[in-house]
Amino acid sequence: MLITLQIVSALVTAGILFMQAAGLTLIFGVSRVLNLAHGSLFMLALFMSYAVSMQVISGPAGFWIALLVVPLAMAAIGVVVEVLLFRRIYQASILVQVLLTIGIIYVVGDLVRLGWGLTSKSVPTPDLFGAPIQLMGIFIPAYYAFVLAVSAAVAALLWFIVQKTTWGLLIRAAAQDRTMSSALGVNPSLLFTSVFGLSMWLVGVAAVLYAPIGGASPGSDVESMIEAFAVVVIGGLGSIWGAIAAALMIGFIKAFGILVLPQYAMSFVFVLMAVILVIRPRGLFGAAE
Amino acid sequence: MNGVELQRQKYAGMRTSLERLSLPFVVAVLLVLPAFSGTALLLQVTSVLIFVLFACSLNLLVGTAGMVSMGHAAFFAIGGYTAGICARDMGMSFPVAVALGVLASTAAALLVGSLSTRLSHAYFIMLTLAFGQLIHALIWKWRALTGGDDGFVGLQPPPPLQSVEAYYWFTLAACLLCVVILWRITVSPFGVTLAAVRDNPSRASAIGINVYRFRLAAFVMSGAFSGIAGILQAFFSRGMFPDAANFSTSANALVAILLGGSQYFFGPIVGGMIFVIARNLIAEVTPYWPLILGLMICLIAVYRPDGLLRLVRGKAPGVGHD
Amino acid sequence: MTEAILSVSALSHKFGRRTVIDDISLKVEKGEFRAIIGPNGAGKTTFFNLLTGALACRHGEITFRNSRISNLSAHERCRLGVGRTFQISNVFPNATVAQNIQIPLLARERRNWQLLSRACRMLRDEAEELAGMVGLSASMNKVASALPYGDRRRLELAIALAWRPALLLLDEPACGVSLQERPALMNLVRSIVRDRGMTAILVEHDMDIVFSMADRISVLHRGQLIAEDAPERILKNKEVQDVYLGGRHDG
Repeated sequence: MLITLQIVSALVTAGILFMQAAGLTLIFGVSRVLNLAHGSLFMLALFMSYAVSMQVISGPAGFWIALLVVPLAMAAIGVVVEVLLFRRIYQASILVQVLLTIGIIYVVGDLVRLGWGLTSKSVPTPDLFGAPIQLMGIFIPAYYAFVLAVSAAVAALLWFIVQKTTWGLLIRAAAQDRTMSSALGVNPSLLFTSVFGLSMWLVGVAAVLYAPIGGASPGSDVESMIEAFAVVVIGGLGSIWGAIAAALMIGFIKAFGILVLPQYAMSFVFVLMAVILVIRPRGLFGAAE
Repeated sequence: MNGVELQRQKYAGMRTSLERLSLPFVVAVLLVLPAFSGTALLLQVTSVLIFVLFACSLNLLVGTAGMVSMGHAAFFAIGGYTAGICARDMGMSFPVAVALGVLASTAAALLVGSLSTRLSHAYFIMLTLAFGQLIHALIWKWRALTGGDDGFVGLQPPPPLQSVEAYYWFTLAACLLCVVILWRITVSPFGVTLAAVRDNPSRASAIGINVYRFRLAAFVMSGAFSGIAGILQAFFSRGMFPDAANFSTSANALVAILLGGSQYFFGPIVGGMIFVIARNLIAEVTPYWPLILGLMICLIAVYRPDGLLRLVRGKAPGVGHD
Repeated sequence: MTEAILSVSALSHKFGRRTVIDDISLKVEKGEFRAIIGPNGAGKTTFFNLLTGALACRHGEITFRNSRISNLSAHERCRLGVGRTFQISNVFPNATVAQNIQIPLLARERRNWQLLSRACRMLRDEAEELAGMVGLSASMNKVASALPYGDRRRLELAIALAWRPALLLLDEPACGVSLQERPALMNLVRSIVRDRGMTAILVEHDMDIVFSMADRISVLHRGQLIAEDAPERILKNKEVQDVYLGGRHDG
């Protein structure tokens, strides 16, 4: 009973973590820039979904409008940030890339403080999912089932984009060899911008789905950045399938670690990370150099 | 100054006419400062000195070895907490507490470094950040030892160092000594080899240099000096808070390095002073200083990536291209 | 018959599913000047990378001076006496000529762990001697990236010689060097190799250089060793003419 519930919550964590980390890994894959501000943008999306569903439209429709609007707004932010800032530092040294993203962390963190203060905000579960549903003889929150369905759909959509579309072909080509995409006759900056947009859209979806579970809190930027890093370190930087596998592992470790040592559930993730690094330094699905 | 001569400094360490003139001047000002200034300014300068030492320690790794660590705040904090716990709770004498603090930072840097220095730049950044935050979380949660988020308070330096002026002299001496040692390391065979590893690791290993060991050694040394800065901080502020280990502490030092220019030995010194002054000035005008600071960092990263010292010296060579 | 200084047995390497080195076995005798030729993509540079340890060797064995080196890393092989130059000029671009040569010298003398002494005057005499040998005495204080390309290749040679290697691997030393400069550079290489009693393995596309310098030639094609013989006999080898010289005329 408890075990089944923990399995469901592990899958929910994994689904949200995957959407969040897939964006990080996609951006790194094509541009070789490690976006340290990824967690900050996730936090911004959390507060935006709080704002849309609680402040702008307070009603049952709020959540659904947030699910539509917030990811699109995040994608737009991603495009603007890429064009204004990231585009200028692809050739720069790694220190400069790191500092630009640190600058963004400061700016976003302070904007959130400016807009919503320093207290955590909770977002209620949408009315539609008020009653638990019965699954294999046990009751689970209906909202969890919804999150699972959406994350599975997003993963499938991502698979379709990367494997079956021309856009995905370019993403894969750029991930293997940055000069190749320009050899294919594509405007590389258009590719980078669109991948940034897609990544931020994914972050937006993850945030809207997470808000009713974990709320929006001002410290979630660093926390979610570290979790996304754990996913890509374990799964292999640049690998989407690695991200799925690692998100699942982390989801289960956190869900069951909480039963053993509630205070230190995240430490188990670090232990896993250290073990993976020792036995497979490039992660489970990382390419060898 | 021509570009050729400038680039040479990167390996030989740098000491141009500007430093030859300005260094004695800065040291002279620091030496006569207590005679003229009040307590408030002396406290300010002490904290700037500690911050500058931390930034210089980090720049051994970032500038000379080309590795951008995001987790050095952890070694800063471990040094401070360990020395503090030894002195306050275990009744050890000041020198023993300091030695154990440095030892703890060094050991922690050895552990984190052996897991993270073998890998590429992106992994290195993520891992140093992740392990740094892990240590931050441990400090936060291990209340019995560290006091958790209430902070570790009530720490006293030994009686001769308890006055503001005495602690200022102590900090100045310690920082000068450490900075001189860091400078000597930069121009030593070790430092030159480290720069070679940074610029061309595959060539370095083909001429018999164990690239991994040099990177690890740089990481550990940098961690040890960060620990010294942390110890100075702990006794200066009469305690330690978990925020010292937070990634923002590392980020501030990186910003200072970028401001001054990582390729100049004096980069983090100039950058560190500018950073603290700018932060205090902005904080006086508006409560939203992180916003202004963040925007400034973005602009500098995009438009002045070689640091402000470049303005007085011309172009510096780029670093850390992968 | 003299002893083999280097022997390679059943060496294979794959990039993903593509086999780039396919079961190569060969022996190089002490004092020999060996050339390895083959069309582009034959696996010559990969072969070099396996010999020096830049790539980990997973299948097969490499023995150098009677000890197995295939499980050693690049820097350990260098210490045993395997030196190399790179296809694309590979120096420390921001360091001066003097420092470029001092760095391997410091490593050889195990002085590069000294922390508090100044590096700039150390082993300067020997560095100057090496620079003189390759004709760079006048450029000691120039930054490597400011040197003309031909001089950078000379510098690379000096770096490789700093350890006094017994075996020198030369990966297209004339690549990118103008036709006028080539004879002088190659004469320099030849005289250094002879004078120091070194064994050399040369990968080169310029057939004039190969046939004038090599004692023996090994021919690689698609990762396989298809012929190994004296230069005049290689010219007459039917298989070599078909797959290599023929292929060269096509392409």
